[in-house]
Amino acid sequence: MRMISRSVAAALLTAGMLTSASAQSTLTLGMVVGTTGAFAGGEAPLVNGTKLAVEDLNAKGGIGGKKINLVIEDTGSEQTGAVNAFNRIIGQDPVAIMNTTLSGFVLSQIGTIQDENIPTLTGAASAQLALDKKGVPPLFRIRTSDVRVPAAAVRFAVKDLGAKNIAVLRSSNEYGNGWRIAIEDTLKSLNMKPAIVETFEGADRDLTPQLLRIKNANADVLIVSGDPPNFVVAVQQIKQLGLTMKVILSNAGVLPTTLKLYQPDASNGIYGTVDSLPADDPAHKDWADRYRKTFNLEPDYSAAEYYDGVMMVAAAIAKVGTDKDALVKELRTVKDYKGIGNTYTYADKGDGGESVAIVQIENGKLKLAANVK
Amino acid sequence: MDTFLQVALSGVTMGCIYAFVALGFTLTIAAAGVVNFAYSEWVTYGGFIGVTLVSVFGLPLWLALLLTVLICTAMGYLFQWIVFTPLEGKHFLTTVTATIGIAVTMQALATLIWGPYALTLPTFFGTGVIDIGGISVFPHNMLIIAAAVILIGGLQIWLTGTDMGLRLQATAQDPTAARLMGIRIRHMRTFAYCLSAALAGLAGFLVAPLFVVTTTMGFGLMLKGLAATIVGGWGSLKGAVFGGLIIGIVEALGASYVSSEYKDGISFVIIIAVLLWRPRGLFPERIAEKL
Repeated sequence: MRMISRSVAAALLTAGMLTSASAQSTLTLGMVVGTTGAFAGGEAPLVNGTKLAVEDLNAKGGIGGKKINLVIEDTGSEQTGAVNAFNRIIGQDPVAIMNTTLSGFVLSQIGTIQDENIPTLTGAASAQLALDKKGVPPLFRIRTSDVRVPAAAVRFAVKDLGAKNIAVLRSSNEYGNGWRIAIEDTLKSLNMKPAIVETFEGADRDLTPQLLRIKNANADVLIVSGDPPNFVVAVQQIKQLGLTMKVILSNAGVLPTTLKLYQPDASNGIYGTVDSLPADDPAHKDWADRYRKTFNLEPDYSAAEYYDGVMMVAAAIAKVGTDKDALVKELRTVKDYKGIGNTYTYADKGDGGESVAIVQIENGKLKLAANVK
Repeated sequence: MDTFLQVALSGVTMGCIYAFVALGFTLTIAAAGVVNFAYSEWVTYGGFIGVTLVSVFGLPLWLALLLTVLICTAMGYLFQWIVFTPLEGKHFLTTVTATIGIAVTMQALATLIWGPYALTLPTFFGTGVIDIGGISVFPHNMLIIAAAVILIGGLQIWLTGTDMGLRLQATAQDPTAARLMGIRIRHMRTFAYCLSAALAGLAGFLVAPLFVVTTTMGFGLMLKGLAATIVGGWGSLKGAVFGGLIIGIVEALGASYVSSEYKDGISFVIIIAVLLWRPRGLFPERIAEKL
């Protein structure tokens, strides 16, 4: 009996040592994202981009000889789930965390992000996450802020489409509210104001009343911000109700997975905002082809931005090691980093991504309409 | 006037969808006293099964609709056998908690089976729009309204004019007395679960082209169905139908003539007003006393 106990103890000790050795030979990269629930579809490209980056780094031997182990925790597409998932990831001692893209969720994690000081990268676009507002030093935005994107949409509407009467149809959440504020501010700077602002709930599947009010306001351009299911309903009903104004959708409206849901005759000619169009850039053809081959999906800017995020973290680790304070400091020196999905700056309180482009839907595909400064 | 008619038509369409959902939701309350929060997922699965049959198996829409309803009916039978029958006689909250657990599990399972991306289903009549006196009429919306009228009317006739329907009503009103009268309560409840699931499948399939099929598609609908059930009268089939219509029309008119920002607020004010005026809903049933 004693022999058996000793054997078991020895086996457990060996297993423990092996696990410890394995942990030391890998770096844990955490990811907090919705893999189930309402936002799982919208956040899936983030996981794809991150996985592709980890795959590429590991294929080259990892960072400093250490392979990267990606650990994903599900938010369940809920705010409390996002907080809990973040806490679970922290328990696994990650070198950095690729965080959810939902601004409201990130805002609820801000205290923990500051306390832990682990580099946390997010595609959340809310202006509230800037360093001079509610943002904190270890939080890095790998996307263009909502201060820039709606402003670019307005400028494109006024200068390129000749808009005189711009209507806004927006979701009632933090994201939609950010868009409303940015659009109103930009219009004010152009001595204009919105023709009408209409709101919908995320679960709404009939926008007839809102669209008829917009029609009656004689808008010549309509800017819509929301999530993919909202866009599908909006695009379908805009056609059904015979609205003829030009339409600009916020980013999720022109994601490859959203484009598949539109009726081609209803979506043709509609514009959308993106941070970039990586599939359209010859310099990123190899990356785009590998993405298509791996995930059987068209690549989009959000996947590219999470790919870039992992690469920036890898470069920082290669330079200063895995000490979290040193990593945050190093990432805060990044200036004009040209990635696949965006160009990023964190130095001098930089707010991450800087590029915005306007695309147009043509037979279910996107073509670049303008790069807007 | 055109705007009013257009908005009213849209409100009636949404009202019919809510009525469909409320009707199926109410059936299990009335027949078995079970508030089935997994009903939202039954509707969602109706949409997903429809999309699978059409886009993966290439079935024509009418056959896919028929098969979706049959598969959902089988799902209802399976659920009553595995979940609801063992829970019979347990505390009300035990059953409700179990249905919430099932809903969460089914939602996660849907993500595993169909993936995280939204899907869509074509309509029976394409994307064309008919213009009637300046009103844009989408044929699929008309199909939903017609299906609701036929089905709800048929169900009402069946419930009040057939032996089986009367047995189901008797089970709903007083299971003990019904059992003493020789009615096989278990069979009636099984039938109610299957009918409820069939309605969920039909609702999921019919709204899929309008709503986009996501793992959360049924949840929002069930909340509206629950509100319709409360307005109409807890456990009342007639109340579920009128409650659904009232909420759909009030929502649309409120968003159009007051403010889209307070659309849901307006609906809830209406619900509170109805409940203050008639605490047991517009068409109260005696069965409500059970809960």
